[in-house]
Amino acid sequence: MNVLTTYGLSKVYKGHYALKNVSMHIEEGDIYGFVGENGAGKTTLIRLVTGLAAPTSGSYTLYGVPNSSGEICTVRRRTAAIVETATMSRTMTALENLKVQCSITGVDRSDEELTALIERVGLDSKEIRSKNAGKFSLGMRQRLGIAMVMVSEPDFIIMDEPMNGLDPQGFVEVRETILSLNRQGVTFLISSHILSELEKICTKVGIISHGELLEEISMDDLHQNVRRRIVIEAEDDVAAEAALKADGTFTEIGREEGKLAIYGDADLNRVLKLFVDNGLRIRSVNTLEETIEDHYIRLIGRGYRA
Amino acid sequence: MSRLLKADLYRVLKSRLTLIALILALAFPVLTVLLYAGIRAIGGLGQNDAAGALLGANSIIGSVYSLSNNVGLVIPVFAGILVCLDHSNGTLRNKVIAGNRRTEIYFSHLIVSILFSVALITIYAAVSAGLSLLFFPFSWDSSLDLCPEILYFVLNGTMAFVFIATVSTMFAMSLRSAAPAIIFTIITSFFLVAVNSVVMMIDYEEFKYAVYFIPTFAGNIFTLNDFSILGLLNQSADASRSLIFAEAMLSYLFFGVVNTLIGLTVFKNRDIK
Repeated sequence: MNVLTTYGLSKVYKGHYALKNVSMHIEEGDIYGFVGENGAGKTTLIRLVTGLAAPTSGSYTLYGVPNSSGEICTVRRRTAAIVETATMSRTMTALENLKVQCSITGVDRSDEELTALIERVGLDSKEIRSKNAGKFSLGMRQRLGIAMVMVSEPDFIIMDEPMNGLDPQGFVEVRETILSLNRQGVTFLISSHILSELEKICTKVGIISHGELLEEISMDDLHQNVRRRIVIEAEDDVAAEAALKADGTFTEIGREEGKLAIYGDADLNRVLKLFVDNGLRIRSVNTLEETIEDHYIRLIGRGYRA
Repeated sequence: MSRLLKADLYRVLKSRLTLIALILALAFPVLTVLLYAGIRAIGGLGQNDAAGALLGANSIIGSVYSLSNNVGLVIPVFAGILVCLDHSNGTLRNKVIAGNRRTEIYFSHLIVSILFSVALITIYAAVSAGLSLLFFPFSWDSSLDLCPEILYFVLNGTMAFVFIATVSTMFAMSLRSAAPAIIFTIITSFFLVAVNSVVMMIDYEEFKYAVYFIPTFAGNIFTLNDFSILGLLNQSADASRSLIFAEAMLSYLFFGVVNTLIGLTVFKNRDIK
């Protein structure tokens, strides 16, 4: 079942396209990673589909209900989101904020249930419990935001940069929480610029740049069609590069961190034979698969990392 | 909408601003009454001089419902901030994302603003009345039949603040920022009070239909007749109190609805920050 489908969604701010003709779809059970540089349009799309902003053109459906329908508010109750930063009343404690969130989302939770939720997101010390959220660090606010999202047990969770402000331990906890909820059937749309984190959890990614969706690809497809490259550290890299080019088989040769990189699924045996035949000495050799980060950077036209 | 209302009320009750507003609503009448009582104790306002003769509990209570007095200013300031906190904290987003309709969100804020304003003005009026009756006779003029007047006056005064709550909510929800919302609400209050005063000074009989166009005008008619310092000097009005009252209520209702429709239309069509 399609959870979210957008049809040519566009948003114009002051004559400038923040989002241009974006069509994407998220199916039930997906963890959809939304990837793009700052200002690419990730948050704009999230603001549109959460009802915070109206599209300039295009439309979307949420659980099959079009955004123009009066029923869209009803179906939104199945969703929860953190947009940009976790939002809460800064003059209330974590527990009080969760109580307000319960009222807003129309769910009944006992104090014990809410306290258990606070503990689950790692805000369990007595000191934190008595503190107002205004005195929380960014990471603590983000954790509380995640608890607020979870309070209504939604079917679809949208997270805009959920790793912001979190320490490495927080990364792991959020990742495990997402995977655990996903196993229970919760669908996710996660925007992040920490691509290595997305790679660990996503089932599908959408790559957006300058407001346009460049590609929507499942992680399975990405791994099946992955580009591999051979990175060689040669004693005489100038001679090695010349020999590789002279061979004519290796069309894409570049540099990564000063080492020679041969792209385009090159045959390692052939490369090694070439080095042996030319009397070139090798210090190290690695065969690397393209990561989501490499794929993203290649797609938006900047080539591999230097 | 009841769940939104519950959340908004909880937020307001938990806010330190509410406590500050409450302290001010208690402190202002205490200071005012003690000041008058002190002046009278040192012989500054005796029954035998002109001003002193006019000073009774009725005149102190009579000043309570003015939009331009101290609590008249405190209410739009605090009501505006409390509504705008929902925008500035970003908690408004949580409501929209959770599938609450914008109309419900607006009305929840409006109801909380009205309850906040009415509670504050009622506390202020009750403390003013209680304290001033300790120090002053109700009125030096025993010929006044003040019971119906008090009822009209309190209801009309309360409606003035309900009306101002609709203005405050309209500005807060459409401008989304506390400072301009407060400034525009206070300007509106002062504008209404100033226009009333000008109309009354010219000849209020000529402008009796102003009650339809200036929501707070009826309040001035009551105040300026037999219920305040000035009112005791001007007891000529014999207009039907209940008719003026009914007209005033209609006027408040009409303009309150207009404000709400404007605010709601702007809020529904604006992106949320």
